[in-house]
Amino acid sequence: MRISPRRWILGRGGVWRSPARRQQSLFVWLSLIPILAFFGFFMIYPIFSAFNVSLRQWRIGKPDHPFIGFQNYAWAFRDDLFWVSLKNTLIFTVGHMGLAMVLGLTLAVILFSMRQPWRGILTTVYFLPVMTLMAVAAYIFYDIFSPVTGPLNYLLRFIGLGPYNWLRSSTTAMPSVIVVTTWKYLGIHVVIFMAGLTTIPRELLEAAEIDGASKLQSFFRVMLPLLRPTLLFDLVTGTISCLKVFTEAFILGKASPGTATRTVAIHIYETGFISFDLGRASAFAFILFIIIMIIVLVELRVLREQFEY
Amino acid sequence: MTNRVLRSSSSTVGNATKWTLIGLTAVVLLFPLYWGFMGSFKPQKEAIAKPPIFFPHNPVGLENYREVLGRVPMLLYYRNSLVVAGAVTLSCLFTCSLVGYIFAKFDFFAKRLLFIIILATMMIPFEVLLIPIYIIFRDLKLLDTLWALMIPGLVSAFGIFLMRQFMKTIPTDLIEAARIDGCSEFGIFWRVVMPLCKPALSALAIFTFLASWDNFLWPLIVLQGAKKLTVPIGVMMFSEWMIWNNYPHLVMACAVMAMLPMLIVFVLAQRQFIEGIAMTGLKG
Amino acid sequence: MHKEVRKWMGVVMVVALVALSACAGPATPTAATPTPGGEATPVPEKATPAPPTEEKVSITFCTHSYEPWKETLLKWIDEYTAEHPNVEISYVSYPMEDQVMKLVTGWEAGTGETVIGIYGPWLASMVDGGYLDPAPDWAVEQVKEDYYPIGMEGSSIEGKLYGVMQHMGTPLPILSVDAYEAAGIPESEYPDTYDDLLALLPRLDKKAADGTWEVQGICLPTFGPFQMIDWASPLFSYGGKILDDTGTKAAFNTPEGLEATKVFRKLHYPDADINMFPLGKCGMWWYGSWSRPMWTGVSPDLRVKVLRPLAGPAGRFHANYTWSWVVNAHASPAQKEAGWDFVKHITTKKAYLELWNAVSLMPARKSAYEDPSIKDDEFLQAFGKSVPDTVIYYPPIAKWEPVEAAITRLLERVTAGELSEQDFLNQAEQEVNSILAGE
Repeated sequence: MRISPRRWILGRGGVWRSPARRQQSLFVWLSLIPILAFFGFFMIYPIFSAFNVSLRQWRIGKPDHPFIGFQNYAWAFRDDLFWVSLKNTLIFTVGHMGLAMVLGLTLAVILFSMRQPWRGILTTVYFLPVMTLMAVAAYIFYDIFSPVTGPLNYLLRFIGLGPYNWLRSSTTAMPSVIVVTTWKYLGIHVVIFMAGLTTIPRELLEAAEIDGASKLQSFFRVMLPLLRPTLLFDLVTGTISCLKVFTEAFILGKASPGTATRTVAIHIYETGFISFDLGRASAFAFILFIIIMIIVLVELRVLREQFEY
Repeated sequence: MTNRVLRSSSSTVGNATKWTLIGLTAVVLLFPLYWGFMGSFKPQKEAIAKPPIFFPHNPVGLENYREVLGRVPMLLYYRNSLVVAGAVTLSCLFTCSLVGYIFAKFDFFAKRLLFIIILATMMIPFEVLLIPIYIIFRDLKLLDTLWALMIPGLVSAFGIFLMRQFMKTIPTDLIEAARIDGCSEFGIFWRVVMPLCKPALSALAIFTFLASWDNFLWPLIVLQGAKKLTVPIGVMMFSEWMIWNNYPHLVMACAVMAMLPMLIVFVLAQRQFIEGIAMTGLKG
Repeated sequence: MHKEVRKWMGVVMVVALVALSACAGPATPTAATPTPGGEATPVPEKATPAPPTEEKVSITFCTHSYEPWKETLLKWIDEYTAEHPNVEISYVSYPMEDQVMKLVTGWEAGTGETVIGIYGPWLASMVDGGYLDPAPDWAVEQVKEDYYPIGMEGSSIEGKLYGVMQHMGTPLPILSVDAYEAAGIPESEYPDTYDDLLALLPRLDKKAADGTWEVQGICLPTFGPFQMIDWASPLFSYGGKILDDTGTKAAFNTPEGLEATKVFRKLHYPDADINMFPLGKCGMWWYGSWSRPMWTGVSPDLRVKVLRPLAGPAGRFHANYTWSWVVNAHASPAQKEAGWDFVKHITTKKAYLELWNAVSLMPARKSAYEDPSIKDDEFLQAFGKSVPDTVIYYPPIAKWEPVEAAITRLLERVTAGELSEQDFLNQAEQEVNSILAGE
């Protein structure tokens, strides 16, 4: 039986025949209405409100907020700093997600093949940084990255590398921030991938082995396709949070030249709360929102097709 | 539960690479924590020494900690952070599971529409809401209060989604049976469904708590006075000047104090934490 | 059905109660570690806008976060509230980079701070926003009578005084006698001009085989507000200007500007580490008198000498800046009165001397330099004597902050060696002009 789209969206509803059903409806709406109203006021209404602000010249300290149409959006296209911060954000996202997914998957597969207690101990070690505070860890990393007195350059010397200026150079500043972020979140990626690996039926891998597949072959042919939902989840949630990155780039970036680690979130913050131009900041935020939507939709589509064997 | 296939035909070379990789990663991940911990026991001269000192020659004991505690009300920051993260977590556990349960097990008007709207909000970056929410709280005269930190987090779209996914796996027969036994609808939710959701609830609790604990941008904007600061903002206010100048030893002591309690809680309850995060990955 | 409603209400009540009790009332100061230097000040809570009696006034006292001076500030509060029991003062501090945001959002929300120590470059835009209360007559008198001219200049907009100077930044070349001795450079060869300094650097610089610094001829910060200050000093001394006299156009893209930017670049090593100075492994830094505690804690025996500002072809014009005590214009009349009275209390000769003794901040009052307790302090006197060789580097225009931010961003790239001097001048000129044109 085909269901009309309207029916699909709105559901059957409205069938309040028996007292039992009436009680259920009462329960449903008594619970939903206050919670959803609250949710609506703090999640849905602000979106419309942000759009409204983005169409106005809205500066903190000025009493009126004249409507100026899409001028704030037009400004975003002329604002070099916005484009630089967008570029930085994309580099950060690709860098962190690439590093974290490749390294995380490799480590998850290795850990998964290990015996206890090693597996437990190492998972715990990998997960420890997740429990730290980003804003606090950033200061420890600032010290580690210090070019003259920091331990990183000192240690790299032993393998014949360096010295680098890490945060103080435009070429290494963003990679340094990516390293810090990956340090903190690698554990989450590993744990999510390991959870995905447990869902793979062991018979399939054994069958591949019997068919004479090498380990690499069975990884690429059997494991990876079966891990698709996990990879997709990790990629999508990771991308969304990467595109919003603020804390580590904000704290470590103070030591970096110019706009080397300026991300969109920092640009929004500085426009809104340092230059006090809430209208432009809202326009930037909306553009960021649209970019996130596009990237996530592309990821969903591409990954879905990529793995259709 | 090891994977036999991957283990069986492994060569010595493969084994060595494997161990090097995981060992090296572990060392790299632990080093910053080690560096921070050791740094907190160094006198100033050793903290900025060249070449860097990896183990303090003349450890100063708890001197740096005493100095930081003399300047930073760490316990107050802890209390603020705990109140905010605790209230947000408790509230989310209740609201998200209630809404998740309703979306999983009931049919009602505009159900899919509402659910799609909720899912769509997961993609909205907080930066978009930042300015309107700032204006709302300014008009409510709630800036510079812990309320401003708690209220936006009392319901979460991700939590609703997670709980709905989990509650779908609960057999409907059980709910029907409770209904026949004359249990009220809320009673079914509270006494029948909730106890079955313990794994999902603990996952949601951990996820929400960690996110709130690490929250930085919003408190940075909202909080004004020194008495309302949360741990990350308080540490940042202290460390900012200290680290750009030459007091890394105090910054390290402050950092260790900010992070150690959570690390200890984690080591004590690591299984729950890791399984919780794993579950958010599986159910998502 | 009624059972349903009752249960539901019950749960809502419980949740509301938990949330309420969790954060009922503001955090009590007793919850903090009540130490004298603690962030949780021992002074009473900030009260609600409606005080119970007419006389009770609550004000806040706000500065940027600078750990070393906190004890002195809290002591002032204690002294003042002991004399004026009807006034309650609570102390707040923010990192310098976030302070403007905190102040303005707070003033907008109606919870703003009352008495604030602000950085000179912020003054014009704050006056433009209508946030600052003009100084009362006694303050004008006080500043006219006993302050260096920059006390008036640094706190005034269009001839109107808005604050009383807290201290002068006055960055000067501070030379490490130890480092110069180790390099075999006698006092007679100490640099007097920028050319002298540039010629001396190769004799001081020493790198290890691995490319890391052993000794640095000079260590100037590679990021942050000092980029601007350290660039303005050679710029002025080579005869350049930042903006034209009307304050509406960039004026630094000139041959003098290019020369000065070249000097700036040679003096800023991209991998400079300011920690090298306290360790005695750096020849010089350009900081104010307030930098003294930054090395005395590490190397108490380090011998230093404060030089006169370096001379360029156009003379000696080291960039200077001031900090001022100001009062919020939106505060109630009673708060403003108490606020300015408190400013009076913290700008006495005694208060300036206390600040000097605690954190080596240069006193703003001229008479303080003649006080017997510091008359023989060579270090401080050198700073006092150099004030006439300095100029306030920022023009009093409301749009100065974005201009300074844009120049600083580009200067950081010059320091990192990523932008040539001429490219810097061209890009900065374009950005500054577009900001000033109101983009």
